[in-house]
Order: sequence, then C-alpha cells, then structure tokens
Amino acid sequence: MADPSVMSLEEFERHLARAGLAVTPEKARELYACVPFLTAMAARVRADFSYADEPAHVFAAGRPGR
Amino acid sequence: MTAPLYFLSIADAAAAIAARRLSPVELTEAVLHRIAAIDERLNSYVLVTAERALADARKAEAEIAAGNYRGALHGIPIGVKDIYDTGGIRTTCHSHLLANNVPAEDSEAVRRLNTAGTVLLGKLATHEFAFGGPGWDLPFPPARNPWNTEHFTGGSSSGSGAAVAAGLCLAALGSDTAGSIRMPAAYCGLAGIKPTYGRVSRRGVAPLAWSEDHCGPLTWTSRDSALVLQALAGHDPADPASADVPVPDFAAALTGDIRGLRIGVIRHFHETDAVAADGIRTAFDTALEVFRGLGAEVADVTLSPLQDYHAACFVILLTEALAVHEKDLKATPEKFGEIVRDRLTLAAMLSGVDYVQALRMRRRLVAELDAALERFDILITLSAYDAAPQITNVPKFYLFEKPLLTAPFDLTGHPAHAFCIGFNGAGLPYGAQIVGRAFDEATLLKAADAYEQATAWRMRRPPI
Repeated sequence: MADPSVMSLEEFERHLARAGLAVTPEKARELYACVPFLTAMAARVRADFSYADEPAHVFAAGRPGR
Repeated sequence: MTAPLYFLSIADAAAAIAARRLSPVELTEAVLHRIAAIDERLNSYVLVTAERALADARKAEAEIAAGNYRGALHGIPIGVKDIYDTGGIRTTCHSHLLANNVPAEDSEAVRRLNTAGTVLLGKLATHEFAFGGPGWDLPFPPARNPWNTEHFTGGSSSGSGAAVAAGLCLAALGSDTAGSIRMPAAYCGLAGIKPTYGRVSRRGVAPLAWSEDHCGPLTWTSRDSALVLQALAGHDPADPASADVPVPDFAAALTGDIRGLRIGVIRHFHETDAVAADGIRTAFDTALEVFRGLGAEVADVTLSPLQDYHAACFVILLTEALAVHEKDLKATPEKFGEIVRDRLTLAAMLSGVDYVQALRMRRRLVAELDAALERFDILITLSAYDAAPQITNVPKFYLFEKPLLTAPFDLTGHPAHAFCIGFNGAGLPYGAQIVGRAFDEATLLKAADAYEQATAWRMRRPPI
C-alpha cells in the first residue's frame, strides 16, 4: 500500500475513488484515521524473505477445482 | 434428571433418548418454549423454524421407536448460524443484501447434521457476513449475552453463542475466520472448536475469507463438541480446501487421562505482546494448575509476536473479504451495514503485494507453529483479554486496536478449541483456547474434557 506517512487525506480519497468506492468527505476523514493501523500491518508482513520464500498458496496443476 | 430439559448436554440427552427415557419431541418442545419465553431479550434467532423442528423431532422419534437409532445427535435440537445455506429456508447472512435469499440446497455441514438426525430449530444471528458487528443498522438486532444482556456475545457467531449458553439449542453451528467461534465461546462460557482448515466442508457457507474460513460447532461441553464434530468432519470433493484424511472417533479419545501430556503455554501473547486483564490472567494460571494436577507437563513456549500473526491474518482476511464483496460494495454500498462497509472500504488500501507478503509470512508462521508442536502436544493461551464488554462499548475498529488472540490459528489452519476457565466477580465467563497439530482435534478435546471434569464451571448456567 502507499506510505500513509506521506499520504494526505486528499490522496486517500483519490485512492478510494480509483478503487471505485465512493465515500462522503466526513466518512473519508473517519476512515483516514485508520490508515496508520493498516500501514503497520502491511509493514509487519514484510520480513527478511529470500527468493525461495514462497507464499502459502495451494495450487495443484491438473486437478480441476483444487 | 434435575436440570430443565433445555439445559441438558448433548451427551446426557442422547443417552436418555437412546434409552427411550426422553422423547425428541418432548425435548424439542421444551427448547421451543424456552425460545418463545426468553429470546426476545437475547435476539439469538433471526428465524425460528418451529414446524420444521417438530417434524424433524417426530421423524426422529418414529425412527428410534422402530429401532433405527442413528447415533448421539439423533433427535438433538440445534441452531444454525445464518450464513449456512438451508434448503428452502431463508438465509440472510444478517444483511439487507440477502434479506430474501432462500437457497435451493443445504450446505454440506447442514446436510451432514440432517443425516445424523438432528432437529433444526432455526437460523441464528451473526455479525453481517460474519464480519461486522454488533450493528444496529441491520435487518435484525444484535444478539445479547445471556449472562448479562447488557454485554456483548462476541462474534461473529453471536446468536450461536447466546443460544447455546441460554438453553435455546443444544448445539449451534458457527464459523471462524479470525475467532468467530472461539470469541463467542469465551464471552458466553462455552466450548467451541475451530477444526483444522479443511476438516469440515465450507460448501454452502457464505465466505468471509476463503483461505481462513473454518466451520465448527459451539456447545456447552467439550464432549458435546466432539459429538458434533464427528458428524461434521470428513472429505467433501465439492470444497476445494476439503482434506481427504481419516476421521477418528473423537469421543473415544475423551478418557480423562492426560498424564504426561506436554502443554506449551504461549504466555507472551497475553502478558507482553498485549496485556490481558488481571482477573483473567489469574484464572488462566489457576487453569494451568488444574492441568498440572491432572498430570500434564506444563512449560512456557515462545513464538513470534502476536502482532505478526494478527497482521498476516488480517491482511489476508481484509483482501479476500473485499474480493468477495467488491461488486456489491461498488454497486449498492448502502445495503451494507456501516461496520462492514467501512471495513471493506479500508481493505481497498491494501495492495496485491501486501497480500502476497502476508501469504509468505503465513508459510513462515505455520512452520514456526509446527515446530513448537513437535516439542509440545498442545499449546494453550487465552482466547480473549477479559470477560465480555458492554455491547454498547465495542469499538467499530477493534481489530486495529489490539491483536486478536484467536487470529493466529485461523492464519495457520491449526485446530483450536475454546473452553471456559471460570467467571469474574460479575458472573461473566472467562475463556482460554488449546491449539494442536493439524488434524489432531482429538487431543484438544481430550485435554479440555479432562479439565471440565476436574472443575465445576459446567455446573453454572446463565441466570436468565
């Protein structure tokens, strides 16, 4: 996600608009206050991964639906 | 029997039904009368299917009389969280979006319970789409805690927790994506198992986050959880995540003998990563002494910070939930309750890279938990930081304020079983959870059952 330390309220609103989500200015201000919590979570899932650290996907070729 | 019929455990009711000392019709009528008498104060049901229930009960009674007893769930009245499809019966997900939704078929879990001979009492309140609550802008009011109706049930299986605790069903289906079985179990003083990911089919259950959704029961005792899980568990080719693994006899594992069981205590989750209230920490330490007294070997274990598990769980959950609801959120946002709408809107701030990094973190944390479970047979931690808060004092964004103690095991898929470890001075329950190796639910249930047999908490019922 975009870095909220440099993301203004206006940028937050534009981001939501690009995602196709319409919010009132009042609601945008309320939700904008939660952005630091999301940023902290997004930062936490970034570890010292190596190239070999694959995501925990489950995908089995040749087995439809699985 | 001295307890009212509606307060019987499944095990006791089943024994009486099997011996033909109790009629399924008599039991069902007692529970329906109880619902009629007190549920207007609890709001646990969004739909009571009384005619269906009585028909199911009469059918069970006739089958048993003819010598065709199906097993421990035959003639047992149950409730179903309103995110499980029920064929021909309204299934709303507690949302205006699905206010008139009537599925054609039962979900696989409901089908299996029907096969086991249960009696369907109705559909239970939930947080909207198992995600947002308690809310007052939804088609139905939020469920209330029977231990004190001014307090929160926990969620999202809110009606399931309230109904089982109050004697409005003997078991309920719930679902658990970040704690939605185990939090209501904690706040309502119940047993509730989130089985291993893939153990119970999700087919026909409204998704919240596909890779973290688990289906399971809430019951009064851990033995009852074993009995219901027995009926639910098993491979379903129609669920892509369903595991084709053997299903053991869960009740047979409940020997009461846990001598030598190695229990790892994830103390840092609720003592330093985030801090639980003093009273529940004391209750937890007392519970550990009970396990020691039963012959278990108890030692602390250290994992990654709770916040790491919580972050990975919620980056995945929020992203998958937005994918589920994106179309409706854009087209008819006004049909969602405010809580779900706001949470989904915030999820749009997460990127595809965030999601993949969370999946990479998930693999690492699964390996960490697997390694801990090589040293210990089970792990234990609290399932909530305190007793239930007041229902009007639940923050809309509580998931951002404090990491959920239940979230780690939805992320990793390990089985986790919640059980009651006592009460506070106001009579509200405290809960803990036991975590085990993948597909080893039997050991969790065995340990919790032994604890329940050694303590008196199962003797106490809500004063409502």
